[in-house]
Amino acid sequence: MTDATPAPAPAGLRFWWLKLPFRHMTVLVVFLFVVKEQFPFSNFPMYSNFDAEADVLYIADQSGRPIGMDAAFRTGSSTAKKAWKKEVARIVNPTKRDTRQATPEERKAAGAVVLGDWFANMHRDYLPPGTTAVRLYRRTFELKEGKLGDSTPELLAQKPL
Amino acid sequence: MSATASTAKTPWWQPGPIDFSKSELLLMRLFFAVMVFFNVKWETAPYTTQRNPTGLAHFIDFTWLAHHPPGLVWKGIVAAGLFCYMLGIAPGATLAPAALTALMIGTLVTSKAMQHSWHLVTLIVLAQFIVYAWPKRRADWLRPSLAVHRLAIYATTVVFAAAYVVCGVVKLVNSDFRWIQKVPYLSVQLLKSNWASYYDTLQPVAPWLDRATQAIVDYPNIARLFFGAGLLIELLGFVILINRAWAFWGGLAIIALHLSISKVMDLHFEYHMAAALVFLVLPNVRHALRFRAPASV
Repeated sequence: MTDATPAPAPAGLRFWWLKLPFRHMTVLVVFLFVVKEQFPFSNFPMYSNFDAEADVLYIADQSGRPIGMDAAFRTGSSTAKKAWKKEVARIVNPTKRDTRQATPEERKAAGAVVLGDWFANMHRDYLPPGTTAVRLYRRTFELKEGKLGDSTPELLAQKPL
Repeated sequence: MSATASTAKTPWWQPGPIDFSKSELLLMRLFFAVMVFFNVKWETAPYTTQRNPTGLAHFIDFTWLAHHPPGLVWKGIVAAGLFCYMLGIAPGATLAPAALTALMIGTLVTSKAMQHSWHLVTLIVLAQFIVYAWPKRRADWLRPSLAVHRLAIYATTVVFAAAYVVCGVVKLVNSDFRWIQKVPYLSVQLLKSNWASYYDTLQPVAPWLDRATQAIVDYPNIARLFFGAGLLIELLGFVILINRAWAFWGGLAIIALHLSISKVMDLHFEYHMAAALVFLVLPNVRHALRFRAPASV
């Protein structure tokens, strides 16, 4: 065999592998898409689907005044919302319902779990003076007939200090 | 089209490692080492449960990290390892403490509730670790050759591109390919994310928020153009692999995307922007803008 002899053409799977556009990235995209949310892998589904409603969770004192969550709990509102949604899903899963079909009682049950968890990691020094209890609220924003608005926050759970 | 040495004979859609110089690679490793260290959420105490296990948490209980948060010794070992990695000394071993720490703590934190701030940097650390830990030649293990360092950066860019492309694909699939049509509903999401920031910090929401969100509803097609551009940047994320110029412009587009998200949605992805700056923009600025040394007289 001389230097001028062309290399043998790759056969079978290898042929198609070498032809695949952006092959390493393409394989990783498929992998991430299939595996979904398993840290460190993710399909990054943030804001991939949305409708006319969106809700936010926050923690307040006994009179409903919000407490800065970053300082007092070291984790923020969006983390609380995700934890709460997971709890709601856990509650409604046995009946194969969507989390949006959860009853007020089921939402409250999930809220109690999340507030309990957040309460356990609370930094009391950062609570406003005079705080005697903490409450978990859910505030829902919606787009209705071309207008944006929000409803009265729903009390999900409460815990005395 | 490709400007890389190793892919000179391959078409642009089959890119390979870019021929970065030693100093460019060193600078990338230096900045990335700093990024990795600060990307780790060292404060593990609040994460006492794995109620929503993800990844390895399905098999391993990492809550011991909450009871024994990493101390100075642990941080010192990670920092020393990253220093050696930066110098290119046995990165297949010296990157291991950082990779393992990022993986364990990230798994614990996301097993409480999923967050996406740490995925990219952790994935890049793991990709580089794999490249360095399993080199083709044994001699490359202790002092990797230029080719191995270039391969590690190629793996980094592959991870980077895949993360953005899959993010765009998921938007299309999860919305039944109606993401662009549904853009007016993003106004509600904007309200949500800005108020979530308020509840985090108690800093007042931006005074323009109500006007901006209503404008999205009132002028849906302009909003579709604006947010559609963001979706396009994600779907076309693969262009950063083509060559240095594409990496530069693609990196700039990704940074612009994140800056606009920071401004409009109050969601901040500093490490994504930093990674784009370190791996895509800074090393390629001269090539993209075609700076040339003045001709000698």
